[in-house]
Amino acid sequence: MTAILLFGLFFLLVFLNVPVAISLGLASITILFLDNGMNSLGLLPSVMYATISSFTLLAIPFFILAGVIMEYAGISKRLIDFANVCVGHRKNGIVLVTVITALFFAAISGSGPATVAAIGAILIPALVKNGYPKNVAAGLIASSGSIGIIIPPSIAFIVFAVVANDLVPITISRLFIAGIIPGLLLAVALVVAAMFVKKTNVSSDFKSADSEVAATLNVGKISSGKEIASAFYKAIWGLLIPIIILGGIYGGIFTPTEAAAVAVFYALMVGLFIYRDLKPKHLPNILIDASVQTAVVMLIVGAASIFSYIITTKRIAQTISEAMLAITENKILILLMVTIILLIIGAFIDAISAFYLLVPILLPIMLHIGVDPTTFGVFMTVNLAIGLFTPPVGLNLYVASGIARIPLKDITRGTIPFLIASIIVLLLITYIPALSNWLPDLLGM
Amino acid sequence: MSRILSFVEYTLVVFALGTMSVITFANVLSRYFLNSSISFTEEITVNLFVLLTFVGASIGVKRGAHLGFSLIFDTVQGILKHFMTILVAFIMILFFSAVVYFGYDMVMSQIARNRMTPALGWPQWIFTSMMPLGAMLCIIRIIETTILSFKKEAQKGEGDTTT
Amino acid sequence: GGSNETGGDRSQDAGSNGDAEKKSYDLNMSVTVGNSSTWFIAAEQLAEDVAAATDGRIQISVFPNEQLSGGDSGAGVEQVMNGTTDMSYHSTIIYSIMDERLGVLSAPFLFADLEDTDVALAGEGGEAIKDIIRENGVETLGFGQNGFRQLTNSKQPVQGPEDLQNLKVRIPGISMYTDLWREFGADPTTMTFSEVFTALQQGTIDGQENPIDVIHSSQLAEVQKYITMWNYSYDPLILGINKDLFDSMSAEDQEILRNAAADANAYQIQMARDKEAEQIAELKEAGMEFYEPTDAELEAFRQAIEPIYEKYENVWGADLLNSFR
Ligand code: NA
Ligand code: NA
Repeated sequence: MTAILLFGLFFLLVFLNVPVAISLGLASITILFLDNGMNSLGLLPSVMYATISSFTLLAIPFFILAGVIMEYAGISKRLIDFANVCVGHRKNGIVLVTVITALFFAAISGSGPATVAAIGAILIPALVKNGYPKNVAAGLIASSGSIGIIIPPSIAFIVFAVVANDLVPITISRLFIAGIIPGLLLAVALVVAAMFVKKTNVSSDFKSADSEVAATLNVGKISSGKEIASAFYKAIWGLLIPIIILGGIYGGIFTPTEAAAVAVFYALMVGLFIYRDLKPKHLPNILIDASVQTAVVMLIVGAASIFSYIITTKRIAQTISEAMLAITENKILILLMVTIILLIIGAFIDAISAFYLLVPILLPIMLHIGVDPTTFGVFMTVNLAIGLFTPPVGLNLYVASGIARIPLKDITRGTIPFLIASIIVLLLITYIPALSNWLPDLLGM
Repeated sequence: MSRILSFVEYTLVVFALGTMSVITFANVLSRYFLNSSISFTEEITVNLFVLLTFVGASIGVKRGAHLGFSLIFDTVQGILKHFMTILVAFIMILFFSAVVYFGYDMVMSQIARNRMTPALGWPQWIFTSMMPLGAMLCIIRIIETTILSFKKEAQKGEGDTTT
Repeated sequence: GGSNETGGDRSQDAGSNGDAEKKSYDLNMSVTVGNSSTWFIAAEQLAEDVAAATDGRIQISVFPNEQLSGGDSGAGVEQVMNGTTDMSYHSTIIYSIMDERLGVLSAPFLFADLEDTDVALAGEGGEAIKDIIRENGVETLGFGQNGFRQLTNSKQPVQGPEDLQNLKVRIPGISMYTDLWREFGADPTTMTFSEVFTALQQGTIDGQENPIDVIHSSQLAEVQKYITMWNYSYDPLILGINKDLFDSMSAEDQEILRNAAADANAYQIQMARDKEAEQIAELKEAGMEFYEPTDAELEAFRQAIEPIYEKYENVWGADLLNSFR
């Protein structure tokens, strides 16, 4: 009963256009109030404060800040140039450039929309110029951006580890490594899906304003060794970031949180002194932008912690797990059921909320049927990464539609081939644990 | 008024995020280059993190950055839309008021108990009070943006009739 | 604002006219560590005993891993003080965050061995501690045991203060411990416990200090070779209940709780001690080298940190300190 009221109220508020964070918080305190009266609401600030003031979650603002700095520092432009001289001349070269750049950027950014923002402005016009319909171009960018939370570093993995740690020990470092192969698989799938797209007549969809941006990208031309070397040299400072982050974490030099802070200062140095696109006067705006992005995530984390307090104390997790296990104990069916539930939930709410809502409920079921927690973390994250580009609520979609200047409903159709490809990869990851476990096991994580 | 508020918000978040980054980075450096860890300063960072969240949330309200589901809201028109706008504002204010009210309680009880931060021995309530204060800023911003959206609607309405 | 004098998940009257004797309670109890710990098992026994003695009128739900306080044990204690959580097992180190006088129990080399702690906590000192905790809004239903904190490291057997020089040791994020380890000449560092294993494995830090139970359950033997059994700091558990709640209960209910708590604490301590012997054997088998300092070596450690007593005597209170000496 409490469960129905809690979830019912939450979705009612969400549908009214109340921000997700506040819907989570208000649904929760309503339950607290109905059960125990005013005085129990003292929990609200206490639990929120305790949850937000976490050293582990501190990686989130730093990875976000590093991402914003890199946008200002011109790192993404150089990564795109490098990918272009390497593979731009091939058949469907521009798709390869897009996905490879997304992979590069995913390895330095922890967030999906940040990845979209960083690569979309240049690559959407370039894709259109090369004959891809505008909605397909935007769809490819939105779905490529999802790789951002699967390839480490990843805000999603950090939050999953924090939430899951209540039930089973799991480290951020292991999840980071476990995301690499699934992230690469997703990239391959997106490239394959793009090959099935029918190209249009270039001129029809291509506006002159876009051509200036796209003109800087000479897709289709075979580059000389010298050009490749030069582009590599320019991009090297960006390409070093993942090596510093991952090398630093796995080499025992710093914790994931510290790695994020190091990435901030590294990107700052590159932007200020090497690329010089970044000026000290940009710093206040960079810090403010990063703060707002952080606050949006952390307000959800704080409010969701009250929500999971109720899920825990009202034993809602147990009730739902028991109900689910009563339907079937078949591992394959349960995984399928969970996948479908996650795809639906992921369409409506963001990944961070979904972790707080669903990990306490789903993880015990997974442990019960013998699913490895790392595999679960990865497939849940991939699932919610798909949610980033499915309507009605999909952050990547919003960012991509803003950049491409086309309405959300038009983009949606353009994402369909990539959605299908991603779901196939999702099923592979769900049913083949080795895809997530093999690499961390190999490295002894 | 709005500009003063923005100045306060911007100063606070720039200070918070800047300090957090510097302390964490300095921590890495100190561990490797000095033989003395300053890890106890991590206490400052995690507390500033809460300030960052609530003051940043206030800027987020103004910028319309908080994630939501606007599909239904976008399709309704006229009086219903006005009603929904007010209802959402009211609901958001309700939530942040709870943070203000019970956060204030938490601050008061920490003052009464003389609670100190464990590593540095600073008064905890100074940090804690940033949560209700940030929530207060959020309330002001919600009222401001709601009034603004009404003004915009009204202007749009006028524009429609004259053309 | 309103005050937090009552609250929590409690008191649905059993239908009758609010007769205190018949009042029903549905209490939440928080435990810092996981559900295979002695803390949790003893708390569950407490819940069963109390339910049995009251025909289910007083229900206690036990939650592990600080689930009730966003994973933050400091907030967990604060919630028991404010009454948003009803009961808990928390270590005194966490309580000392809320009231620094309680740090006296962690004072270095204050107790020689477990018998010493049993006597002290059952005596005048234990009563003084309960008074302080009561001032903070919590009634103590007795003490359990987290254990003596022992030192592990990957560098060398630590036999005297000279072996601690510049050793990077992870310690609790509490100023007394920082001061203490600085006096030793070590390089103390604080770190979320969930990161300690990886940090030890990768050499980010050299060592850490914790009771045997924690060392064992976190499988530190995989990453730490040496352990020094120096009993340098004792960590009792406090079985606490929000004071306003407890005072509002009938004398009969209070008695039931006190008796069941005494049993639960005895059980927890027994389990902890039995377990510790087994755990030490297993750690040895896993290749850890145990070192038991001689009396002379312990004296050298004690000498090295004498300034801590000078500095903290005022913080803890001289009378309180003397009641344990
Ligand atoms: Na990433
Ligand atoms: Na979605």
